[in-house]
Amino acid sequence: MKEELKQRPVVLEARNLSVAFRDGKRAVEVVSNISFTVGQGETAALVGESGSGKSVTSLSILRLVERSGGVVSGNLFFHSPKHGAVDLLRQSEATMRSIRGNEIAMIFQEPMTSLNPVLSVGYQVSEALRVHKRVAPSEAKREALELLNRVRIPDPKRRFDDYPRQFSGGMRQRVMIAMALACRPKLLIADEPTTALDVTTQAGILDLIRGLQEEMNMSVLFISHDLGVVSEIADRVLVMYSGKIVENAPIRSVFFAPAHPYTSGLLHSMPATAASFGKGVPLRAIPGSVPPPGTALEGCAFASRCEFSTAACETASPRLERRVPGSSSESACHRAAELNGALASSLPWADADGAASVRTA
Amino acid sequence: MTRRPEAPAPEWIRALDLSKSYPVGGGLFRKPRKVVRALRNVSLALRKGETTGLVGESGSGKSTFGRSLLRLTEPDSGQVFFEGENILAFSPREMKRLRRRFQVIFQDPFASLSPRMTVRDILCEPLDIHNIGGRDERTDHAAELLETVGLRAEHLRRYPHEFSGGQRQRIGIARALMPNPEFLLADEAVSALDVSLQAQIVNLLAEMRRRFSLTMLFITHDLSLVEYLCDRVAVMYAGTIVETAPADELRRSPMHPYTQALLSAIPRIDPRRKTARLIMKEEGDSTGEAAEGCVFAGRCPCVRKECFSESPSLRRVGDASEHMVACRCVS
Repeated sequence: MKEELKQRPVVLEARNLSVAFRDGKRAVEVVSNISFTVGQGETAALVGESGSGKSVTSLSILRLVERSGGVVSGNLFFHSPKHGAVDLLRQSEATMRSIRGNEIAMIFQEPMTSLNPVLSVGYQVSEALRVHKRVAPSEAKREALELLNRVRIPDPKRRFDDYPRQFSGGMRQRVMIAMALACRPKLLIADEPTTALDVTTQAGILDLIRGLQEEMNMSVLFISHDLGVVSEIADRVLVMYSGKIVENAPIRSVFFAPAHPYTSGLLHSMPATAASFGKGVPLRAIPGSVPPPGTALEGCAFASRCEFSTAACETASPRLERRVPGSSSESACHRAAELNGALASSLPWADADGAASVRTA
Repeated sequence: MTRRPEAPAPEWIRALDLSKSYPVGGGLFRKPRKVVRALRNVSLALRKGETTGLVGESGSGKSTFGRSLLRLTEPDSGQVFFEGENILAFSPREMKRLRRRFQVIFQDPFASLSPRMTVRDILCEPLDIHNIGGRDERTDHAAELLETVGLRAEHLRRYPHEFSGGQRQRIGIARALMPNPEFLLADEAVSALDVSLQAQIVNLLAEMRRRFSLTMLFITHDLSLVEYLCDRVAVMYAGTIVETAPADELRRSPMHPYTQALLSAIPRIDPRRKTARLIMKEEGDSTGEAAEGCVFAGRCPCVRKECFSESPSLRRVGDASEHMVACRCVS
């Protein structure tokens, strides 16, 4: 596993990124002041439940939230091969157009709604090449066929002129991936790319993304609500809760030594975790529900649902920082250092062996 | 866990050779181009007090099967025996009486509750329909059940839009429990919920099942939920049941190649227990007419020649075992 994250050159850096939407007269902040980086060739996963702000974060990178009334602040530094180091939030629409789909590409959850139903699949895959690379139509077709072959669509020559409705869900997602990779982007944003798919299809798509990512040394920002999927694909995990990143850690640490009670809660509430304890043992659910966006909170947003919260948690908002000695995890929990160990102790796979392997990594 | 009796419970509901086809393609004035066989001679017995999990991917026919048991979908052929009678031959009146004992929880808590009814009206509707109790009695019962599922009595006056997804699913569960049913069909009842809420609702379902001694058919695409919640599992593929077994046995030793592929495709968290994935061929004609042979033959990693000509029936593995598989390659 790739753990030497610090040496990677940074491709994307979000610094104090906030996104707010207007609700009547009130501004509702759905992403508040988050900072993270994605390294070259790294797969960083943004994990959280619905309403945590993970999709808005990804859309703000491509500057797609302003159109729907979002107000974005902070910095989003991107290492663009063409424009050099730029702050995406301060680029003109023309520059953004040359970055979108070219240097930063995105795939979405529902492939059917993201593909144009009245254009053939071949046309849509070669479109990016014609627009960004200005290649001749015959050349674009040749490259598009190669891409379709690469995402393992059987018999691409025959399927080139087919329409999206003639493809199954998994095959459509493969088409989407082919489109996204047409210009060999530096960064791929994948927003729940397998959520609408069956498990067996999902397994194939994850294998595909992983393979292509390694082959092209591309960075991936993978957005998901499913920690199982994330465990298969990510190098590093950013856990979001209520618009904030509450934990930022290498993949093994997240599962063997979670440093935030919310991460630990998510791991414990998975039925797969409970099944290994035996039947009839109730799932350790997180009580309550996610606070609606815009809830004004003084302390930690998770405090009201947290079994470890103290009076201090209700008043002071914890910052995301290294809190556990000897660990590379960053946690936004006041009690992270003293809880270390307690958060993982009841996970079925977290024995001494596993925890030790995190520390040495 | 003591819920499972020593001797297997007697069969309570038995579906025999249920079939259902839907025409697809075509248009308003055009003939349908082909027929999707959502159920192909499906037989399955549910035992009293047990929870049976029905798993399969989208389009495998699991919802059609569940709905057929309650005649929410009329099967084309087959029989459903309940207490010795074929309910598919029931008159609408007899059916109505039966539906009081058979209730459903649906997947989408946003679509399954009427936005124009208060929670009280939603909960009391089943009792109004079946004419059970007086008005005050109904309201009292509703208030009581609302607290049982973790909401509060004062929520009775509210409307569904005032609740979050998890709370709505609690209302859906309370509604299903109102007429005091014996059988509960949960059709992807927790699939639309976030992980942390899903766990709450799964716990609630498990508790309600125990408290009201329910027999359940739990339809889901999520195998880890089945492992956790069910006594027995049936795996569906392309309108047929390919394997049934006690839940823990299915996880330990899946026999059918499709079940094996399905189990190996679940993302498992434990990074040290990674097993090699069994990759199926994609794009089999899973729902089309392929009338002959095994439905899985086109994608099967260990397919033989005869699989394309003869369709396998569900056979017992070993003599006394409760494990049944429909595959030629399993002896």
